[in-house]
Amino acid sequence: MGKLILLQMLREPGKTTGLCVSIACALAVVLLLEGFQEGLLQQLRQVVLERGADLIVTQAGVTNFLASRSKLRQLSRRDVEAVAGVGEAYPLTLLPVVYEKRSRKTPLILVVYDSAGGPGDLTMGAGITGPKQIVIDASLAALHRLSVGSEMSISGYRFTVSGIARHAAAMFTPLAFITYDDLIDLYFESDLVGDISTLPLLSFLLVAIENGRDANVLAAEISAAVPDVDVFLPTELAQNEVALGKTLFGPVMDVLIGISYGLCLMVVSIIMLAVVSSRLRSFGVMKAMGFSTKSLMCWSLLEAGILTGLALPLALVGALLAGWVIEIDQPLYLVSVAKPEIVLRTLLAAVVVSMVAATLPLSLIARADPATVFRD
Amino acid sequence: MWYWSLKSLFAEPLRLISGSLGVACAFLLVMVFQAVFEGESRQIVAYIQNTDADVWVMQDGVENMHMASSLLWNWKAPRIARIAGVTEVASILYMNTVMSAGGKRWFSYIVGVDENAFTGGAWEMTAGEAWPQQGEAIVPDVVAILSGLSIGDTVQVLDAELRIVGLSRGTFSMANSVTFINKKDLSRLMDAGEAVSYILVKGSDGISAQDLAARIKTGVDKVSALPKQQFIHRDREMALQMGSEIIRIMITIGTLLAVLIAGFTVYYQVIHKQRELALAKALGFRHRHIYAGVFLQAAAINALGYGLAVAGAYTLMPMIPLVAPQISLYVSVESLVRLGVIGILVTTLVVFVLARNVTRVDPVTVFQR
Repeated sequence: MGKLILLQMLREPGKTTGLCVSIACALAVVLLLEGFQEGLLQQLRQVVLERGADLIVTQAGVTNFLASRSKLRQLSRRDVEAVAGVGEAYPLTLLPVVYEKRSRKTPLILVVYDSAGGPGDLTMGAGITGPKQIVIDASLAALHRLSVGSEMSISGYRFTVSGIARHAAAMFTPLAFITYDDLIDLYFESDLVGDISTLPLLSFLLVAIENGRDANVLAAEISAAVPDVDVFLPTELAQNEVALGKTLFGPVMDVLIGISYGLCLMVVSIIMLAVVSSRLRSFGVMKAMGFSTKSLMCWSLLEAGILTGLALPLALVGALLAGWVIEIDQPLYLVSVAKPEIVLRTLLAAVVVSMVAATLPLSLIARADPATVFRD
Repeated sequence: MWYWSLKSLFAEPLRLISGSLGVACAFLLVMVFQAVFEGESRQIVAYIQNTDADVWVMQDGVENMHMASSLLWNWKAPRIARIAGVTEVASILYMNTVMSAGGKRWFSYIVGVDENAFTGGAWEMTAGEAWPQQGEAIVPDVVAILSGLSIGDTVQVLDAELRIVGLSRGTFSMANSVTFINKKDLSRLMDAGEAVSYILVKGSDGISAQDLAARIKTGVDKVSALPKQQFIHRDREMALQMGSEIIRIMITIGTLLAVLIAGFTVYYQVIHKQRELALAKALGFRHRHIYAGVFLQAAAINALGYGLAVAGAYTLMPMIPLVAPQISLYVSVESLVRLGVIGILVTTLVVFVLARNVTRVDPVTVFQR
């Protein structure tokens, strides 16, 4: 029967392609939404891991990186570096600001670094080499048409863009990197100077450990020696960010993905209905030849499965292409479609959807009358 | 031809319903996306909206609450209180952080309030107290439901264990649910010293918020003062800008899918009725009549699909919060109408183009077997 179905499909290549493309489009939406959700989580993970620390020190009670305000004492750095096994503790400060250009406002997070924790992957320009320089995420550059050498003003303090970083964004918010010298100048020269003592100066410490030391053991030792801080492995902090991301975006993404599966079901149902109703005469002939209704129903289920199976690679290519276009057009978003678990989950769901959809025209098959073959 | 078009469409209700349901799902996907976005955008300003302040005063250079950080000396509050036209002043501290509740972590805006303040606290309560004393917290009722907590349980904000004394209503959103704690507690947690984040000002009758803001900016050094409505507008505008691109992408994808489904349904309708169309041509109907028929079918499928989507949206959306109370949804008639007009127009026109092969039907077909 499978051979018969394949022959039938090959006999009408245009129609078969059209059907596969239609199913592929609906599946591609599912993959895109799954990829979008995964991208959100991946960005949260990446923002922590790209800081390149062995351990990350936070204010006591702070369990997240971007989502929490952490404020450490200035002397925390000295206290942490005094613990045996700590090679160096690099300061890092996160400061949320709103960048405004031509009345378009964009919230961004300033990542203030000293010599570690700066921008990772630069697509244009270079890192910070002098005063008043800033490295911005590609999404901010695209949104405000900024490029290397452009001037941008934050709270009245003027920076020159020295580099553009790739994937330096999370939670729909781009990052921008500056150095501590500029943070102090920003506080003094900008409108904020009056209340500088209350402004955040140190959020996290990025700890580089000495060779041969166990990170977990050292984390416990730092926590014991400096009671007003918490110490995390970067992977732990990244996991916390991902868990929070799932709490924040999970329910809404689940609803959207659920609707997109409904959409998929409808598309495959319409297709199977159309396919079966256009073949009622053939089914009548087959019944006249002795095929049972049950075997014709199996035909419908198998055809739906084959069409969906053929559509899935197309859907994957389509979703990858669409994701690539979205990332080029809107670099703030990351669409991670090509994750094995996403593809596998969609494949399994697609098989179920196609089987359910194939049941819709079963009543037509059951009613197919062998006598139709002699009509007209 | 119009009559034939509608008759043949309704002659096969199963195909019509499945085609329309497909279009409806595509529209519904976009509608839910829009509703989530609009719901969140509204919820983002819910706190500001529900305070009884005419003017918001903040750190100079800051003009937002969402995604912003503001700190100013607390001695500025009594100075503002002395300005002519000011009747009441309250100050709040605020920060965003991750709060642990019932073994789960929630992103929350923590607002520190004075217990005797004229405004700035929870505006509607599900249960318990509205104003927290030291060591106490008022959490959104949604957080309490999802975390399995109730009054008397504790939540952890940074390293502080706070006892829940009240559950507030209307304070939860994915982007900024609001937890109220005592200002002294938050000051210690933020190490804010003598600083506050925002000063909320109530003016006397007869003075406009605009004039009052101007007086405050002139009378107090290094502050930014905005009338409440302007402050709300700026926060909402920024929230909308943050998500406008993704909404545009989703509308494009949803519309393309609606085009695909409607096109497919009409195409098969036409193929199926090829003999009847050939008969129509043999009887002397012109191409424009046949196009009109196809156009009508596409429009009918799309309109029915859109209608089902609207009905689905109004049925589904009140149910979503019952299953997932953390999702804030808002269906605006304006966005529904806009989507309907764009969607139906685009899909119908594209289907119209796709169906051009109808005109190639040979009248001789009617005599063939």
